[in-house]
Amino acid sequence: MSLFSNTAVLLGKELRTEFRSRELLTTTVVFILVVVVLFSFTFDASSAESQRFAASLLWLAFLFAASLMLQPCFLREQSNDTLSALRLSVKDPFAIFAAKLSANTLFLLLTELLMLPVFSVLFNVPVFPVIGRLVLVLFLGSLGVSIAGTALSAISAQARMRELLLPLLLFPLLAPVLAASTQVTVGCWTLRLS
Amino acid sequence: MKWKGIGYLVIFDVVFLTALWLFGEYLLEE
Repeated sequence: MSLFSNTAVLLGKELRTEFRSRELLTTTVVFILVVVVLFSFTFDASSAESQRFAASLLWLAFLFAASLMLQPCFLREQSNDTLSALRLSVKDPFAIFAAKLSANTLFLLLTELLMLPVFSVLFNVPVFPVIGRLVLVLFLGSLGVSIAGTALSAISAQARMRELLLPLLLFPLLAPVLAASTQVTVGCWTLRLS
Repeated sequence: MKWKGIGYLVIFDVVFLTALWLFGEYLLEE
C-alpha cells in the first residue's frame, strides 16, 4: 500500500474514533466558547480597541483549544499499546503522522469555523465579508499548529510529566505561526473596515 | 491581505512538515 492509501485508512480510523465518542470536539468547543466569552467581557464591542485586539485574542483562544486537542493524540495509542500495531501495519511511519495531523487540522478547523460567528458578534468584527481570506489564514495557521503539535505530542506521550510538557514546548515553538496568523487576520479586518 | 504573513505561514508549514517526514520515524521509537 502506498503512503496515501495508508494515510487515508488511518485518517478514517481517527475520524471514526472521534465521531463515535465526540469527546474531543465537544470539550474543545465548550472550552473555546468560555474563553471567547470571558475575553469579550474585557472589551467594549463598539470600540476600535476591541477590533484592534480581536485577532490576537482569537488566535490565543485557538492556541488554547489546540493544546487541549493535541494532548490525547498519541496518548490514545498508549493505553493498549496500539502504536506498536500501527507501526507494524504501515510501511512508512510518516503515514501515522500524516493521518494524525490531518485529523487534528480538520478538528481544529471545524472548531474555528464554529467559533467564528460567535466571535464576530461578541467582538463586532466583519467575518463573513472576508471569509475566503480568513479560511486561507485559518487553514495555514491550523496546519502549522497541527504539524508542530503532532510531533510534540509524539515526543511528550512517552514522557513522565506529559500533560505539562506539551504546552511548555508547544507555546514557544508556535510563536512565529501565531504572530504571522494574527498579522494576516488583522490585515483582513482592517482592509474591510477602511 | 498581508502576503508576507502568508509567506511566513507557508514556510513554517513546509519546513516542519519536511522535518516530520524526515525524522518522524525516530519520534515513534519507544
